[in-house]
Amino acid sequence: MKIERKRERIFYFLLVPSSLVVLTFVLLLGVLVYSSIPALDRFGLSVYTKNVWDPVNDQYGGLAAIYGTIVTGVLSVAISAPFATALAVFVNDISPKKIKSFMINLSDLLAAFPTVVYGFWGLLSLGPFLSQTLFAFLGSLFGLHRITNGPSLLLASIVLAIMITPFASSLLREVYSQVPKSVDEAVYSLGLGKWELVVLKLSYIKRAFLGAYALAFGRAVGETVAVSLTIGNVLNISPNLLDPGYTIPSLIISQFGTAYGIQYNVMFALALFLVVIGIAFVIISRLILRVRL
Amino acid sequence: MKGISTWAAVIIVVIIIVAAAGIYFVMSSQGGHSATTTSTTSTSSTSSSTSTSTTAAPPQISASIVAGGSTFVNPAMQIWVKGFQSEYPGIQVTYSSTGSGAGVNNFLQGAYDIGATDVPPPSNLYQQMTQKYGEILTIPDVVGAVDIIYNIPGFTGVLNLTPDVIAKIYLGQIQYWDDPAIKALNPNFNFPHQKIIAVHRSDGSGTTFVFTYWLYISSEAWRSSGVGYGYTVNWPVDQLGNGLGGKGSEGVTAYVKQNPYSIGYVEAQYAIANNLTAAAVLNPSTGEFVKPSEATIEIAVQNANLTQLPSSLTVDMSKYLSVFLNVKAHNAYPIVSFSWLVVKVNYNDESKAEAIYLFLKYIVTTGQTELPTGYLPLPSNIQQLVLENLKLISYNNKPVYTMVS
Amino acid sequence: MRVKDAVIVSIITSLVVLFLLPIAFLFYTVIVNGLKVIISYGPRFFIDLPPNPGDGLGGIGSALEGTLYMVSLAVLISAPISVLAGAFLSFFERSKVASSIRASLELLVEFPTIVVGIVVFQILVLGFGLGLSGFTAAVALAIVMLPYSTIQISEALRIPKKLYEEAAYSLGLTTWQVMRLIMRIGRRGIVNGLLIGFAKIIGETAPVIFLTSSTANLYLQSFTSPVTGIPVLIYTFAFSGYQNWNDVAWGASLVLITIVTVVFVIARRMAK
Repeated sequence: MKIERKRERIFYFLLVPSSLVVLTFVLLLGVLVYSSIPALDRFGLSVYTKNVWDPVNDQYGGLAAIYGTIVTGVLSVAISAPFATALAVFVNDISPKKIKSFMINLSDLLAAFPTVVYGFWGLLSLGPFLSQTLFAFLGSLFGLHRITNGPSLLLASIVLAIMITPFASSLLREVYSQVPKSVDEAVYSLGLGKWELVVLKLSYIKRAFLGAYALAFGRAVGETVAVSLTIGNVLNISPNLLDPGYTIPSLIISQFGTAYGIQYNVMFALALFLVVIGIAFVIISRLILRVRL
Repeated sequence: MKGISTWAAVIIVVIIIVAAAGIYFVMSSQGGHSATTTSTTSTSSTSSSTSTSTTAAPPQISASIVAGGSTFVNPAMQIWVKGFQSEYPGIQVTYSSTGSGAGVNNFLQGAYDIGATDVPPPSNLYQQMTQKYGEILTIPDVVGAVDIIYNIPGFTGVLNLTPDVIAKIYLGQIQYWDDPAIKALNPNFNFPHQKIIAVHRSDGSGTTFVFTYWLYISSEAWRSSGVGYGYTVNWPVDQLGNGLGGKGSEGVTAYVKQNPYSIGYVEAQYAIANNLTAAAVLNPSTGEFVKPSEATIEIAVQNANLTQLPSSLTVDMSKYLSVFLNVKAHNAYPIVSFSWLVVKVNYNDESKAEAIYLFLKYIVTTGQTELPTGYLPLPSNIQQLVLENLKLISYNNKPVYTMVS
Repeated sequence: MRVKDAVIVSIITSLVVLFLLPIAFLFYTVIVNGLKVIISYGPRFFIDLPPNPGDGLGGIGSALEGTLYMVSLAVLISAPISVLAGAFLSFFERSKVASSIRASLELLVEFPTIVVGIVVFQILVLGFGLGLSGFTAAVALAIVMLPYSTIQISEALRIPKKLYEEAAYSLGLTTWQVMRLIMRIGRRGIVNGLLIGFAKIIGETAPVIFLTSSTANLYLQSFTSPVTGIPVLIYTFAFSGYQNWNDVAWGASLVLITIVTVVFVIARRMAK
């Protein structure tokens, strides 16, 4: 009995700092909602569905930013997927032992890398390089208009893809390595080789793949600095990916400092939207990953 | 059981050292009004000493000033802060180059002691500020100009532009460099059929305010478009995919440099420092195309009608925005403006009041002699006007200038 | 089979190499440009103040100090919470409370860092009037770091717990003693978790951009003075048209990734 009571005391003792975690989250969300209310009150949902940013006339609608957020998010996930998968497979089934641990460490290091360096490099090095090569090619292939050397939705998406690949690959690596060894044995005992093995394992983790990418998508849309340096910061809704655009985080970083009055609240309303997307995707990924085979 | 490895110990020790350093700073910092170890003379003076000789050693004041706003003055501000701090090492000044809009906004919110802005606070903001703080001072700190920079490969010489043409470019009505309107102004160059990339600011900017206000008063096309003027406006050219938003004048400069066939507006200083050619702009008052240079900006300043400026700078200064725009004088550059600093008049922290007084005084006197290229000092009558107004700065309604010589 | 295997291996390997190319390009650019700057300026790069715009080279001393200060303060704030919460999660993981805490952590991890920044601005700067200071910046960083470290620590404690819990109880130790024992055994994992959080927030720009000064023109003077950090400096300088500021930014980038890499390597060593 004494142990029971002690255990309880420890439980409650540790509960205090632990609940600070929950408290922080609730507080952040609460302030977000509270600060968004005036904007939602005044503009209703048009703060999300209109495309205008006019402090002179106090009209705000963040549709272009939402468009850019979703486009760059989806595109970066699409670009990153084959590479992250390849990394996961490579590390587990293909690479020799020595390279394996190096690759794992490298990709984890890259996942923790300062994003501002990615953005800086993206703007000054990768951007001009891609402009002369890939973008010029795409531009002439599809007859697309573009700003030479310029930032664009596509450039931002590529930089984002490079940034989320290490993170996504570490998630996929985990899952891929958890496919039971019996599968390996079965495949080899049937006289089949790497090809079948990889294909089979990949089909095993299909579900987890979606879960991992739901998380990566959430990470990509929340990225601020690298995007604001490479996207052009223009409220433009365009199917042309070589055009510049905006995302919600880069809009916030540009305009928050000067926002006063109702514009300030609009920023929070947009931030709220972003957080809701993020939360939604975390929930989706949990649901997917929970219900495993 | 294994102990912590030496690596971990090293890291932990490093963290502790840095944390200790931080705590050391707290303890050794001279926070301000209370008498501290190193302050000597005037910090805790309560007797209002009559103003004595101006050759007294700089008083040992400790205070911290948080300033921020306009990216326009940033290059000058950096120099001022360094110079000022070497004279008054106890006063710590930080300046955040966040844009004029942020400058006035944060000043209003209380995060900045000094808000730097390229245009005096608009009337509605002025009302809010005076409501919250009582009297405020809006003083000019330097003269600058807005250059129109461009990047046209192969173009030599100077590009001629009128307010209407510039307006139409940013309205998206003129989209290509070989537009007849541009060719008419510049018949000697064979412009290619390339889209004009119009670069503007992505952050709330006083430069944008001056630029759009100038367009508003100078161009019928801009006036009738309804876009108006402000720290940020709704740029029609963006919807066409031909606009770019750069962060700060730095960002605009970087974009114009990087992208052929682009055009942008920045403070003159940035154009000069980065070897960018600026356009010759039509001055509607004189009908001349004038290139921005120290000389042409100076002419605008000297010939402007400064008698309209009020003697007390505590009033709403927003209508004095156009004092230097389109000055009617031969060879006067049309887009010239002051940049301004907004501060409170009355403080309840003595050392802060003194520090701000000294800093502003420095800017208006010594600071005017160490400006980087592209900036012009305030005309001497304006300097006097500002110095007179600085005397209003007070601590608990007692002017501080008497206490710090 | 042979051909098929060769095909798949080459596809996978070429994708990996293709991914590594831009990474190598990144490292190369940062290292070369950064070294050029640091070597030409000399070792005082780490101490001196940054240069005026357009005015030759300078150092990153004030920003470096600011970053170290902010980050250490953030670690001091979040470490106790991370460790205790991590311990709670690994010891009482089956309780209902634990799952809600875990859920909050996962959600916090995905929180866009810029939003953390503006919310902290709203609460501390506007709400409490604390102004821009090293402290407010540290709080924002602490919030960003918290979920990472807590999750890492709770994972790290899981193994020692599994291995030793039974044995410890059977030896008659009380719960409290058992916990302390396991935490001592898992010491490395705990420090590792904190280091990972540390590495992560060193490079963070978005949470502190509205809470710091953008001019790195002075050294720390007091607890409440505004600070600037290296990531913010890079962001400001990189995006400027001034060549010399761009150069300083490359040097700063090199310093930054070096610090992150070193901390990371140390953390990895310890996790073994």
